[in-house]
Amino acid sequence: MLTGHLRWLFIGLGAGIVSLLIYIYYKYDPLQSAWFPKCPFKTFTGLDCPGCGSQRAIHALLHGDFSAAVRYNALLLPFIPYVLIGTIFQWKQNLTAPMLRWRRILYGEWAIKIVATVILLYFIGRNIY
Amino acid sequence: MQYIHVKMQKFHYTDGTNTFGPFSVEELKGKGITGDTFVWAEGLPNWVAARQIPELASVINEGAQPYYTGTTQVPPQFGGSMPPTFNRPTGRPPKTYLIESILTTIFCCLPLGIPSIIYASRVEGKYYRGDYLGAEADSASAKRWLFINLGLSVGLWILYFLIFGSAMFAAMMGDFN
Repeated sequence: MLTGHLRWLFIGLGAGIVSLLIYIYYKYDPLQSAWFPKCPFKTFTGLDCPGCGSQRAIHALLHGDFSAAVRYNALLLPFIPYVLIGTIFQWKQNLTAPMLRWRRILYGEWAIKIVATVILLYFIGRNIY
Repeated sequence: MQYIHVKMQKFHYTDGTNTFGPFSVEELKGKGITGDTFVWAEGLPNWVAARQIPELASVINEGAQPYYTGTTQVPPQFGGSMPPTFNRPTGRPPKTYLIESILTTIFCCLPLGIPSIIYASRVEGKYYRGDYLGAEADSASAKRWLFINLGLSVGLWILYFLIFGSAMFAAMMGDFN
């Protein structure tokens, strides 16, 4: 773990990049602009991968269009809070006992197996329907 | 003699060189544990003789050869001389890289994040069953797939921008002329 000034520099840099990305994805529609990188998996196989549509979904989300976001990528929206909470659990030192219990429920062995199953089913399902 | 109560736990035992376990009390029967065999369970700061743990009274087989028969009866101490996997049960499981794997699978990159998540799912299960080396190996595999995915994606993006960017640039220059 980084400490002191270096850590704050790292956090500042990260916040800067995230704000820039949010601005870009708010301002430009990945559907209209050719500058957004296409998913290489989709380009080569023609199939939708579990992450396909996430750029369009982020654009829709930033404009408050939740139903469009879910249509583009149904996993993106529910996984945003999941990833945020998981990041907090990872960064925070000295977790209390109830927090450790929640960490194990939400991010333990079985939770990961459920996450893997959901992603795989979505991967298969979105290419069938 | 001081008794130490250890309830509802799995025990490791040692012959002075190798350690075995974790075993439930039921599984320990028939292992030839004597009152002098040193055992350890999660939460104990060090090895204790089996006879000090009343919960193991049913396991102790006084007729058997003791496992640890050093003349001075000094138990193996935790510390620098222990193999690295030895101290693990009291620590944290290895990192699963779940969050990073989800980010690379759903928020960007290739479906190569899926092997990362599969490996991530096996880390804690192995750890809590006592397979510390297996848990470490799966954690390392999850990390490896994470970096394969990231590296390949970044490489393809750069390629994409090189090809596409130069095409756009040429078109723009063409318009300009």
